[in-house]
Amino acid sequence: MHDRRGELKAIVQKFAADRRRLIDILWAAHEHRGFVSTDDAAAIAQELGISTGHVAEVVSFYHFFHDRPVGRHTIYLDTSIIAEHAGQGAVREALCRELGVKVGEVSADGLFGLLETSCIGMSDHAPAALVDGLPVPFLTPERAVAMVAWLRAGRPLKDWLAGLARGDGQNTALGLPISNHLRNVGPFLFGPEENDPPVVAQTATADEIIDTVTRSGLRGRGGAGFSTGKKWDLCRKIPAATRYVVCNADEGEPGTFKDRVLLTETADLLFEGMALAGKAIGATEGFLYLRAEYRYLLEHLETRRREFEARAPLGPFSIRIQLGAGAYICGEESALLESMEGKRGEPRIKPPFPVESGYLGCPTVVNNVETLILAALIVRRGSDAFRRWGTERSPGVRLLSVSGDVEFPGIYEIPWGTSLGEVLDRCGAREPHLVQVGGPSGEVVRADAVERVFSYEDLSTGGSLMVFSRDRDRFEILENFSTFFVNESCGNCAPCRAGNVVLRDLLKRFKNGHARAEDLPKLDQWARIVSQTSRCGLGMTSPRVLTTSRKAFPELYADAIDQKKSPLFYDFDVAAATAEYDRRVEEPS
Amino acid sequence: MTQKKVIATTSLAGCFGCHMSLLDIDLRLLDLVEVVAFDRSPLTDIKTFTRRADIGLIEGGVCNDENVHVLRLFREHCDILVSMGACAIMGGLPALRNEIPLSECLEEAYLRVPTSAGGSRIIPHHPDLPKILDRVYPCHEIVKIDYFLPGCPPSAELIWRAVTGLLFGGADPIPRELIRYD
Repeated sequence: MHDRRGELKAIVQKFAADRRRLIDILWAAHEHRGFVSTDDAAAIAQELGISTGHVAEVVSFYHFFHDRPVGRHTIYLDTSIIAEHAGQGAVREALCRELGVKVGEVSADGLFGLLETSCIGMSDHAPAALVDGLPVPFLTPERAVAMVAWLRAGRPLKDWLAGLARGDGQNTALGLPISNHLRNVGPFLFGPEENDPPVVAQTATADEIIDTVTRSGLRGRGGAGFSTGKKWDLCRKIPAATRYVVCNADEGEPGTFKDRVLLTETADLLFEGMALAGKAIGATEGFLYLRAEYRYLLEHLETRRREFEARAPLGPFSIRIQLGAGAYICGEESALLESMEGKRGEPRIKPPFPVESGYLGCPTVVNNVETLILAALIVRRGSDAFRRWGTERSPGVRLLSVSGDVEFPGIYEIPWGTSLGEVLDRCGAREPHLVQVGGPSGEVVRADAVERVFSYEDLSTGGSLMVFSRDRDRFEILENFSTFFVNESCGNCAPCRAGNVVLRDLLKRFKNGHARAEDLPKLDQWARIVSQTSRCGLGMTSPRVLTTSRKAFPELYADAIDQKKSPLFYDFDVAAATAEYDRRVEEPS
Repeated sequence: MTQKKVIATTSLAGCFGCHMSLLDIDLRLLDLVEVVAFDRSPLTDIKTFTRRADIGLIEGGVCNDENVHVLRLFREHCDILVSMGACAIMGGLPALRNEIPLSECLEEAYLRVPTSAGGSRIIPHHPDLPKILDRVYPCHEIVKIDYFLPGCPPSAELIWRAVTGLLFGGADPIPRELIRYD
């Protein structure tokens, strides 16, 4: 008999029975069997000396962990609005038909599980899916069926993917049909490097590093925009024996994929940025928290990491790559730290902030991928080289991930201060009407507000830019965003857990033409409750889908209310609600 | 003497527990009927509205097409509509079937039970029988509901205070401990 128990014991031992490595342990346990049964959870718990409940609650928290079989091959369809607009619906139908399943089920032969997940960072390859951890781009019903046939024949997915490579000269070295889609190269990040010193001088002191980064005016690229130099300075001033550097590569905001490209192309610079941060704050250990959706980058990153550690250009600095397991909320820094400690990714109460009490309670700097790469370049080239671009309060450049109804979806490096109109022109937007800046947690903007500029003062953004043309149903877009928050709320606090459902349902009323005048103030009230009483950034920003779209398109909501309808009687289709009954009682069984 | 206030009540997909709780106001019923007349209600057995009501008390959620019809009539004939009890507010116990497809419920209830007559293959249906809805709905998804009295059932005291408060005003605020969800 297969010794599952022994196998699990070996896995736990491999991680020195360290409960903080629970995410890694669960990944390893999934590797062998595809899921972690209740018995498995109990065995792991016993080996680690923690409760079964603790293991079970962690398994249930993450999208890519399962407590029941999900097929030998697991297909995760990307449900972002970009994927849906690009034809994910037809792909879904074709797969359901081909496999004889509904979404969420496993085929009768146990070969295929068909699941859904939030944006996988492939909006420039939409519609896409993750299959056994690998990205399958530009799906069509035919392509999906061909893939299933290939896998049924027992052939490796990677070989099939290799045949999909496109001849645009941008395929990455990963052996996957994935392009970087670098549309706008330069002026700083992807700029000419020939004049760069190969690495930062080893002699740079902590003071010099912090001084240069602070003077450059670099602000965090994750969205909050906190001064990077200040963050590092705060962290090093907290008295502690041990400090950590964490790179947040849990790029989960729908529509963004810049970190995918940065991790593919500029991993060395990233590690250099981490080591610099380490030197600045006095840390010798760093972590790269990689979202599970980018698991296919792991091998490449590990190779680069080993090379970097061997070179050790800034002195000894070790880096561990921590794989996430599928949870948007882990992009929130304190939730990310919880996850790194082997727990559910539920945000901590702040303060204290991570600079004071982060990983394992030690002062920790958590920075975005783009931030660390920019920091490395700034220290190489000097703060003035960076300040040459951007505006006074938003110095430098930033990357935008552009997707949706545009000719050229991809990565655009722009100096802060660039106008919306210029970006829309450059990406070849097709009759743009609604633009989502910064993803669902960002802002809904009218496409004709061309004079608005990307900057921390005006259109502040984490980098996602989704463009929607005139013929798209705006409520469908907004409902997709709202549903995203319902799915990704960690469930810890009630305003976010329940409030987002209320907001989504209200939005549905407008979408389906069932809204009444009283629903508008109700919308405002609930938006206020959720944004003001939620525990973390997710709930604080999720109502922005509604508040900013109401501001940008007031007529959209007003027109959806039929003033002739009585406020006392709601739309309810009795015929539709009794259709199943009619069908069942009339059919001979 | 001023005209009596009018109350109407009904039980949709409920168990009449809320109506029993209403009767639990005991002797105060005598005070109540001094100032209030019950119109359409199982308590009076009046089947159709004979006049406009000040308050309609709704027990139970909405599980069939007749429930929808009755609820709409109540909305039409009552100034204030109150969802009384857990079922009216959120479907309650009957809504446990909402996770199961309707055809499976019907088969389980009529075909697979031991009392099913001689291997009957027929699910009872007749033009005079209400049609079962795909799921059980809370009242406020069908019509606007003005007030909600939680509880399974709401206590007699809560119903008493809410009804007299709504009809005559000036009642003391309802104490927290009366508002319970079990």
